[in-house]
Amino acid sequence: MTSNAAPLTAAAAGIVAISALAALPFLLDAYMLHWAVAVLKFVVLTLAWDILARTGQVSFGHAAFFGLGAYIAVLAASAFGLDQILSMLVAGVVAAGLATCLSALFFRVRGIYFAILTLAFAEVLKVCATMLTDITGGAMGLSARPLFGGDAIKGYFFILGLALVTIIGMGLLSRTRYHFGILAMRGSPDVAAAFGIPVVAIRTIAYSVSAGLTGVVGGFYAFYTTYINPESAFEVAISVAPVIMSIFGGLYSIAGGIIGAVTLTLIQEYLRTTFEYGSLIVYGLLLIVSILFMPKGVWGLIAGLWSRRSSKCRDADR
Amino acid sequence: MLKIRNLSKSFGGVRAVDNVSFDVPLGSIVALIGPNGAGKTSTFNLISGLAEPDTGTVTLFDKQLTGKSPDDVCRAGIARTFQISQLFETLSVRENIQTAALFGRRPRDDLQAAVVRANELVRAFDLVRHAEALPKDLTFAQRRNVEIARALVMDPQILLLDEVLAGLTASEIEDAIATIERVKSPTVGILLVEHQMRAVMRLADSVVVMMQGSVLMQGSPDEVRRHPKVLSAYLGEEIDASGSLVLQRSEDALPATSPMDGERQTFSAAVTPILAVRGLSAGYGPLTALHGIDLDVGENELVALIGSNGMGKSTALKAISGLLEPLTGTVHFEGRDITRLPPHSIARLGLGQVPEGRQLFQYMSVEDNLLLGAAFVAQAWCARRERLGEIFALFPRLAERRTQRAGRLSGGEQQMVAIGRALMARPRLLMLDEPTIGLAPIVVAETFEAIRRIKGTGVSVLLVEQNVGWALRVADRVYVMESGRIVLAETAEKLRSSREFLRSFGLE
Repeated sequence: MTSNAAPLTAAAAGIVAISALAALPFLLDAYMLHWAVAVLKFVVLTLAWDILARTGQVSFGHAAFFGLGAYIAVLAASAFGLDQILSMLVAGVVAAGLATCLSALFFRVRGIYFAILTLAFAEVLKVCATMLTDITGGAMGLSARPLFGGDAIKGYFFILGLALVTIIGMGLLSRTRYHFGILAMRGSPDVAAAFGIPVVAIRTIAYSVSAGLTGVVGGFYAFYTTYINPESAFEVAISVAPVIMSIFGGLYSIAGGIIGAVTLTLIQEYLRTTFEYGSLIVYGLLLIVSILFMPKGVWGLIAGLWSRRSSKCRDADR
Repeated sequence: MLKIRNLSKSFGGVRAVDNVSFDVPLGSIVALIGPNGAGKTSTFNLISGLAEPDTGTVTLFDKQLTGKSPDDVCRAGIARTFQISQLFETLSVRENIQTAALFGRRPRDDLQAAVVRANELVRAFDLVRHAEALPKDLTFAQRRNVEIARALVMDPQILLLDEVLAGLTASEIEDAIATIERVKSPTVGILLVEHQMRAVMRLADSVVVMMQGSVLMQGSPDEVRRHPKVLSAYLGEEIDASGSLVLQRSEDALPATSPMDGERQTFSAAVTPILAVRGLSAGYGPLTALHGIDLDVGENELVALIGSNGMGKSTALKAISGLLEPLTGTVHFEGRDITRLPPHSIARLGLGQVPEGRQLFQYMSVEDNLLLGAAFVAQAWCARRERLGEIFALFPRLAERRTQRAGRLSGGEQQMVAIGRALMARPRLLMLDEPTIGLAPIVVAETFEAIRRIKGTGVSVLLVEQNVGWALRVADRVYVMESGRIVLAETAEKLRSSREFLRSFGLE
């Protein structure tokens, strides 16, 4: 009986959650709305990063696509007069295209070597953005017209829509055979290939989708803050945040990514406003303790407790 | 038919595969045998696309497979297993098989159909009770079954089996041979790399012998086992038509320890125990793998601990050497209680260990690997040069290879380094965990010969061994383990003449 009720319950919960999210901007003040946008932004960044991580490659340089997306979106809007939504999409496509090209080169190496390559590449782009003064304005940066003429509620719905598309897309993926292909190749890519799994193609697509989504968020960020420079657009923190949020919430899971992004964004903000000094120290300590005691993240802990409870029930039935 | 023509591949100047040609027709079983490092696995990798040949071709019917990626080769109809079982560890048994069904030849986009097909294989391989288990919870033999099932679920035309019998006990080998016989069908060609001559003799229609990268000969199993060069370079001893070494015959070669018929030897009384284990229990988390075992090793005695995989033999060694903290019981070494000492202290007291799978430092030279064995034992370090000479005298082949990277050596040579490394610390007792797993018959013989020589230098030996025939030939006493308990303790002498015992291990 429970098995029949489960999808219905999930659907009902989804409808309630989406309605609540739709009502949210009308209930919050401007300051809180700003934080809701920040939370959603990190939800997309974290899930996008996780798409690549699922295939067994850990990136420490997603700021490359974030920053590239930011610059492309601003330039597309100002130089070519494109509509802002279109500009953000162009930013995503360019970032995805770049990732596709990089795949051939970067996926020759694995693990820590790949991570270092991505990190270095983001730094290279930062230097390019600083040097190409004619196009990027150099260290002075670029100004952009505010997103949707400064309508924060429209901005909120845009990023909410992007988050929902990402979540639903990843959810649908888990119903296809590629879900199993990705699970298999994460631990042992060579063995996976011997069983017909197109490892290279899956990784390339995952990297491109991951970069594309990050690029769109970069474009969104540029319009939302109305000003970008190399330091802010290619900030290392942008690369590191999704890694930490994924690990904190629980790697390789949609729920884990959402939990990580939401919790850490809010905790960081709370600490920043509560402690006058040293909020980062408290934040760091919190991360260390959580990784030591929840190696599978918050979601891993919840899932573990849940399965233990349900196995107890099964034992009781016997 | 799978056609291999003039296949060659060099790795850093060494011709690993040299102009190899043979066919695997549908409906037949072809065995690929040869010493470790002969190029068998390299040939497998060239066929399955894991490496690209320098020259030569691989064709399946009219399809050209040379240089194709592994996933393309797989979809063309060639499935393989891996030498060291490589299951998808994060997927359940059913999901492992189902994933292969989803991507293999005639990939099924329909998840439901793949599940149905996977379930058929789960039933056929007697895995129903473990379908939802993760690979790490399976026994060694069950993992092998999952490997084979995962390859078969793709309905391959050619099945490559890479040492699927390695590490199995005699009775498990019987089961595995039966499984392969069942898999044999007019629509599947099977190529197997195998050291288990019994299986090769029974299963193969044709045998390809490789040596130093090239094909030495190809023929029927009978022709192969009589070929003088195969005997001298690979088998080492003549084997009968069933593929087993005759125990009696080989016993003649070894100096017989004086049989004391009728006079029952009591172990701990007859010899001074250098190692005395009493009521030792140990486990992993909630699982107890060792249930209160008693075990003695006497001064200058060679004791073998035998039994199927997953019966607790390695756990016993770990609990003795301190790698695993015992739950109950005591371990005395030379009269001293070492029960809860940390592993490095135990090692310094003179208890040397050769771990399963050798565990060498792959990127260090042979000599550095050996020196490391003495590096943290003060007296041994002072006398390291002298000791190194003794080790090289014991294993002359290592002297020739002293500057080579350990990872580049053949399996047999690596095993010598592992044993030598343990000996560098001048242990009083040497514990070896499955030292001959995956080695060619002649290398197995050499390794046991070396172990006997080590015993001759006054070192006591505790040997965990899968190969019961050999264990009986070299050991003074034997303990048999079953489900974490010792069920039999007897002199090897007695067991050698016990038909009932030999039969229970498939040796008669």
